[in-house]
Formats: sequence, C-alpha cells, structure tokens
Amino acid sequence: MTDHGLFGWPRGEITSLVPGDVGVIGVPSDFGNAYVSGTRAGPEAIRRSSASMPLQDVAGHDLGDVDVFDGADWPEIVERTGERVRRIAGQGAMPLVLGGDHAVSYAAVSALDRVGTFDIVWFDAHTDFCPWHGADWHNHKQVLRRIASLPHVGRLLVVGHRGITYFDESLQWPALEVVRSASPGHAPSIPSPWLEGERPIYVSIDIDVLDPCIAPGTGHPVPGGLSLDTLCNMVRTVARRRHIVGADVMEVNPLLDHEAMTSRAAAEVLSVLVRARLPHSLPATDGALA
Amino acid sequence: MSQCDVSERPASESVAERRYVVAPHLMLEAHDDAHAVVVNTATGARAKVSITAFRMLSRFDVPRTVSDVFGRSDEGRAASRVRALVEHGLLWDAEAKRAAAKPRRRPSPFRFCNAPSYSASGAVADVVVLGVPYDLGGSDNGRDGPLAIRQKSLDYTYMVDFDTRQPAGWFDAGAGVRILEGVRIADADDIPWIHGEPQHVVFERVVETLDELLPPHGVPLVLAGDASVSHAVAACCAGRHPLSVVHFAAEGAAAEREGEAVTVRDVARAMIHVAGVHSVVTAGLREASGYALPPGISEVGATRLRAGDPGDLVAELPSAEHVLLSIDMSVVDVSTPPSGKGMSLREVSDAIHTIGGRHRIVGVVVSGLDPSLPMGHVAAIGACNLALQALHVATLRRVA
Repeated sequence: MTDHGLFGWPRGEITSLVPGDVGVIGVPSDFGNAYVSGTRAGPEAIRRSSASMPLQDVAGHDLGDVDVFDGADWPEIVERTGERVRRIAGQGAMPLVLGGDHAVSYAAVSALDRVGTFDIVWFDAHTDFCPWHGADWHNHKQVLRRIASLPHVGRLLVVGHRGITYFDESLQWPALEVVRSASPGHAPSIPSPWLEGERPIYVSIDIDVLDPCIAPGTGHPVPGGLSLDTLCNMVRTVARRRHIVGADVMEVNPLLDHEAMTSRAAAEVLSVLVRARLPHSLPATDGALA
Repeated sequence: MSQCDVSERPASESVAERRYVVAPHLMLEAHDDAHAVVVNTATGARAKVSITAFRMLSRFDVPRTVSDVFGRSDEGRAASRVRALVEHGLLWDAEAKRAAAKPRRRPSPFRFCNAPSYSASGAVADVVVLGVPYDLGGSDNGRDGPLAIRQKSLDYTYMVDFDTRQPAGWFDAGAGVRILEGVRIADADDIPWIHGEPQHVVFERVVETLDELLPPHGVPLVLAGDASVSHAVAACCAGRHPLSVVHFAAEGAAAEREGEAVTVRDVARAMIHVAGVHSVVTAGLREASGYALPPGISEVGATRLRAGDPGDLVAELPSAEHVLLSIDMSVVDVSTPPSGKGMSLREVSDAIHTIGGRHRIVGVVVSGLDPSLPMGHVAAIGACNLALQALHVATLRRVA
C-alpha cells in the first residue's frame, strides 16, 4: 500500500474532512465482473500513478479502501461503500470512489439519496444497460439499469458508447441520452443542455471509454475510443459548469495494463475533475445522517 | 422438447466395451426430484430425462467405458441405458470416427466467439470458421494471429436463444442495430502445417478442407497467419462462383512474382491467375506500389478512400460479382490519435458495408495480425470487430 493517498493527499478519517474537501475511498472489488478479474488492484494502481502528479491546490483526504476481503457478500460491500460515501457527503465533502468493477458505482450513487435529485454523466464504451439475467444482481453490465431506477436519479448521459456487445442494449431508458464515440474527424462533446441547470451531477468514468491504445488495462476494451485529451476536456467542461455531487473511476485492471498507462490515465482525468470542479461544497448533512 | 426414454433395452457387447463421453455443449437448464432438462447450447435443443439418467450422464464427464463407471457386475444393465442416451445424442461414442474429422484438423484452444465446434454442432452452419496459422508467405510473425483473434473474440460470446433455437447475434452499438441474428456459426479448428511442407501442399489442404466443410451457401471466415493464404481461399470460392477479390492491405503488389510460392507482396498478382477470379482490387494502400499492374488488378489507396467515399472502391469491381474479402490487418492503423497513414477501423468497416451493399460477399479472410507487437492486442480486438461486421454484411441478404 502506498504511504500517501491519492495525489499525495494525507491518509485520514472521515472526521478529517471539511466542507469542500475531496474524500477518497477505494473499493477493490472484482465481484461485479462476469469474466475478467483484476480490477481489485485498481485503486492502489491509481494511487501509485497519482504520486507523480501531487495536487497541493486542492484539499483532499484519502480514507483508504473499503474492506471487501473478509468474506463479505455483495450486499455487505454495497452497504459498507454506501455508508462511507454517505458519511463523506455528510461532511460536505465530495466523495471520489476508486474502483473496482463498475457495479460499485451503484453503491455510491444509491448512497447519495439525501442530496436530492441529481443527473449522471456516465463515460463508458458500453451503456451498461443490459437486460436482467438470472439472479446475478450486481453486475457491471447492467449497473446503469439499476441506477436509473433509483428515485433520486434524474437524467442520464452515456458518453463513448461504441463497438459490439453480445447483449441487446437497444432497449434503453427514456431518460438516457447516448453520445456515441467519435466519428472520423469529429470529437464528441457534452450536449449543451447538459451544461446548464442547477441540478448537481454525478460523474462516473469507466476507463474503457478511452481507446485501448491509451488505456489497455481494462477487462473489455473496445477500439475506437476517446483520446485522453477529449475525455479530460469533457470532464473539465462538466465540472466547470455543473456542481459535482460525487465521482468515480472504475474498471482499471492493472493485471492487463502496460507500463501503468491505464492507471496513469485514470489519475490524470481525476486530477482534471477535482481541479475544475466549481469552488463550492455541498451542505453538510451529518446531523441528518446521525 | 424431446422426451428421452432410457428404460432398459437389450444390452450389446459393443456398448459395454466402448468409451463414451457427454456430448459437447450440453447444459443443465432445470431439474426437480424426478426429471432434468438439458439443453444443447449450440442448437437450443432441449431434452427431458429422468434424474437417474441425468446422474448417469454426469458420470461420463470424461471418456469412460460402461464398466469403468458401473463396474462389471452392473455393466449389462447399464449398457442398455447408455445406448438410449447415445441414440438421443446426449452421450457420444468417444471412439467413433466422424466424417467431419477428415481431413485432419488441429484443435484450437479457443473457438471464435465461443461458437460451437463444427464437429459437435450437428447443425448446418451459415458461417464456418477455419484457422490457417501459416505465415511463411512473408517475414512477419503472424502464426499466433488466429489464436489471438479467437482468444479476444471470447469477449463477443455467441449465444443461442433457447426458446427460438436461433443464434441471438450481437448488438452494434455504433449503428444501434442487431447484427448476425439467426446466423449459425461453427468453428472448424485449424489447418495443421509443418515446416518443410511445400506451400502448395498446405494450400491444397485448405481448399480441400473448405470444400468439405462448407455447405452450399456457407460463408468461410478464415483466420490466417498471413495474407498469402487468401490465395487458397480464393481458389476455393472461385470454384463455386466467378469471383472478384478485394484485398485490404497496407502495401501494393510487388513488381513481379518471384518463384512458385505466393507471398504477401504478390498475393494480388497470384490471385488473378486463379481460375474463376476476374479481378483483384488492393484497397487501403498507404502508398501506391508504382508498378505497372497487369489486367484485372487495380489499386485504391487509403487517401483516395478517405477523401472520396468507399464507392470509389466499388467502382473498380465488375457489377453483380461475388466478392471475397481479404483483410490484411496491416491496413488498419489502430493508434489513437492515428500515427500512420493507415485506415481506421471505422473506415475499413464503412468500406466493407459499401461493398456488401452492392455485391455478394462469399468469403472473409482476416490475416496479418502479430499479437506480440505493442498494439497487437488492440489489433486483435479490431480484427474481431471487422470479422463480425464482414460476416454480418455477407449473411444479411441470405437471412433476409
């Protein structure tokens, strides 16, 4: 384990956080992956890569990893992750979750129910809107379908959808808007209606939104993805225009990575996000959570 | 759903002595105290068997004789039940010779998209996948390409809808449509070859194997080590229909052919001499070859394709012609942002769709993938995508 937290921020406890801070947790989970394991090592790899890009101008604390290797089942992991996220938000700080497989995002989004209705920008090569199948409740292929059904979730924007999938993802949510990956010569951009409005936004980044040339270390890479510049520009644009209620980066798989390219890309896009976000904090709700 | 009656039948000596194994692709779908429903994941066929028969079936997870499983004392009684399971296709005689096993093919550790193996599917396939890891037509290391493509293709699992018994196909997120729905794919493993064999012997084996495996309207997907193998596939396809070949490659034809063997540099010149091949278009060249081209061969560079539209490519083909697509992965620049002059996956895919819109694609060859190169794994994903898109276009009219 690295001595320092993400971006060289100190390791700390929930009580270290003050309003406006960034509170980081890692969820070293592979449980939502159907076939390819290795994302459990993602949080530590991102922290290690971020050591070369310290952020002195942004206040943050790294609260360490959620314990997932003590025999806990998925509902327990969701509950533990949710509790951490809820407490970070309760301090008026912004929860930043390092995954882990993308199914973890459900825990974070569902735990922010006291913030009120918020929208979601979901960077991903896949829509994660596969049909339900069997009893496989937590799965990164249909996590957004679960999130969409949460009452406090408003509109959803998926950016970077492309490639071929073996599940039918054509039946999607009415409130789901899809920005497909780049067409030749045209980089995708955030639709202008998404840059306006008072409603906060949760940003979830599946690292497979990037082209596999840039981020090979992920379980289900799809060619034709975004460049790192494009992704950073889009994240920066959203973070400057809308209030970010929480964020995560998922599916970094160091076992498949090449010279830490993927974890470095993940750290870079997170640094853009936390630097660009609006200088405000959510109201502390700790009392309400007690 | 078939009912499998495994009540006792007269035993025979031959049943007791032979080795049996559970038929491939069987999956337990449901069971209660009395019965089990097993489904063939390749064909969607279901069978309901007694729980006793299911337990018996489970004991043949590896090839065993009846006496191995039940002992000498119960052998006679069990043999009759085993024979019933064999008759219903749930157990296989592990020692039986099957027609599809000739000519000999080398098993591959993975099947393309985990589609059923040709020998086991028991269905007439619309697409037959064959690996030809031959790469002595050039100096690049392509022999591991077919394996890498098959391995990466496991991300795109072939699935059968058990209710309709039809292959489910895939969802093309870029176009927002389903592709290859109802198209049956079977993987026929690899063609073996050994160093020292003359090239024409290997290629004759390819032609012979494809001739045997392909149903009348079947489309071959050949995963080849290098592009020289396209010559053999063209010979097979041209034996069925008059043919044009569109050969996607980074480099154009060499000045002249050198020697008897077909190389990646002169495969276009070699293919035009195959009986039944009317024209060969080399597409996606990064630079024009600069050599005078013999009649029947033309070149369309990547710049021209990118600046105009893929229709420029189609203009080079005789109308209403059957087309063999030969895709040397060297044509694709997978880097982001593009660092070379090669075509993007999207551009190659668009060109394939344009060709398929005006011609009938009767075969697809994907070659020239070296997985050991820095971007080899990305190219392997790209090869899977292009293969599926090409098969979609090739089978679209047939399915419709």
